[in-house]
Amino acid sequence: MTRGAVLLAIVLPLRAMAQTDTSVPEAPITRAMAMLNGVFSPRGFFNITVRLYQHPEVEWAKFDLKKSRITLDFRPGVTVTSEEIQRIIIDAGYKPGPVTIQSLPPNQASETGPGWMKLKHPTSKNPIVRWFELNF
Amino acid sequence: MRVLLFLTAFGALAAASPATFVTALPVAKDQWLIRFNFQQTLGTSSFLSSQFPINNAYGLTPKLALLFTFNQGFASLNRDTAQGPLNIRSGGSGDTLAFARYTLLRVDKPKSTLRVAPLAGLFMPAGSNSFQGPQGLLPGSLQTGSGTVDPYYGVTMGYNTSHWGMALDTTNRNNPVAAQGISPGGQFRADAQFQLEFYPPKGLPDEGLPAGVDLSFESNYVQDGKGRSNGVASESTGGKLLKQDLFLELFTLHWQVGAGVQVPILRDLNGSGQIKQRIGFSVFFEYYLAAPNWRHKGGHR
Repeated sequence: MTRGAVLLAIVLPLRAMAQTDTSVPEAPITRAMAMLNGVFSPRGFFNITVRLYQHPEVEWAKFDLKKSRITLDFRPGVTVTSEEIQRIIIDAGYKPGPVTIQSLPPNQASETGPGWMKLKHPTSKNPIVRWFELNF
Repeated sequence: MRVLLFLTAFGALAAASPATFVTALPVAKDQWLIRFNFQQTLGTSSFLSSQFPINNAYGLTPKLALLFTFNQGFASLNRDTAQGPLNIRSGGSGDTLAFARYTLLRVDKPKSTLRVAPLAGLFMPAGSNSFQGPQGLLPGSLQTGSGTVDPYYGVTMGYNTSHWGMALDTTNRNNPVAAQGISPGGQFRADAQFQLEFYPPKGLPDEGLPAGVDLSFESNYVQDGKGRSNGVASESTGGKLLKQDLFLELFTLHWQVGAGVQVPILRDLNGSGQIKQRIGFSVFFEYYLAAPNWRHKGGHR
């Protein structure tokens, strides 16, 4: 009985230590928030979404039509610059406004709610299948 | 029938977009927009036309867009003969329109956006201008093409805010004279659209991207030159027509659908005996697609 208690007293702290040792801090999420000029419709946002489909590191996008604003959440650990975001907007045919870059703990990333959508990144190696994955 | 093809050839620009002309259709680089239309027109002499044009727009660069319109359809009308009314009809492909549009002026502000873009292209003779009936050549309203390659050019503009928008265009189609068949005269056209968003009813929410509904008021002025039949000038062809249209449109992030009615309000047709359009109905559905992957190989830049 005493020997069992001793063993338990040794094993439990070791197990707790092992759990502590294996846990790696989750990488922060980069959030980019850009004001847009000239986007007043879902169609305008789609024009930008087309460009976002080609940026494999963007996971979530949020569109605020009233504020003419787009918010992008990137994969954990990925960093991005204002210039990259502005290039996406320019390529879509619009004039970018100010861009704000934030680094957030993963639990503060908003992935649900009005306007949020998960971006499709096709996985198939077949180009035709990839195109269908992208669009339907 | 030919007039309807022209309508579709124009087809769309703006927040939601005009239903009866497409010159102003906004399209981004690497975006492919496809619009399916069903257009029905009723006129005098029991004229009935059903057309199924398909508009395609592709953004080659942020400023340069390519637009293609293909058309299929059929039409019929009654003609008085010594043996009584004779129903004549035709159907098949219409002329195919291809044109490029370059955005020359772009003014983007936080509360509004303005675009001005010249355009130029060709109508290619995929249709027929030589359909025959029991009494020889069918009238121009039943021919599906001009029989020639027709230069097409013009200018279009769009202005939009978050609550309303407008689009204008003016275009010209030069129709060279075809040696055989019905040869329509050149066509000048001017279109105007004003749209008003009325859903969501309390205005847009602070966050999010709701689907929207708008009313689109459109006007189409069409001036057709006098045509020829087998090279001989035809006095009872061409004229001027002004139509007023009202469309209800529902738009989302990925697609748009609209339905409406077109009513001629002014007409001044040359000669006598021409078919007069009485009313038209139109339905369209458009879908936005990302370009195939080969366009993306260079990365997001």
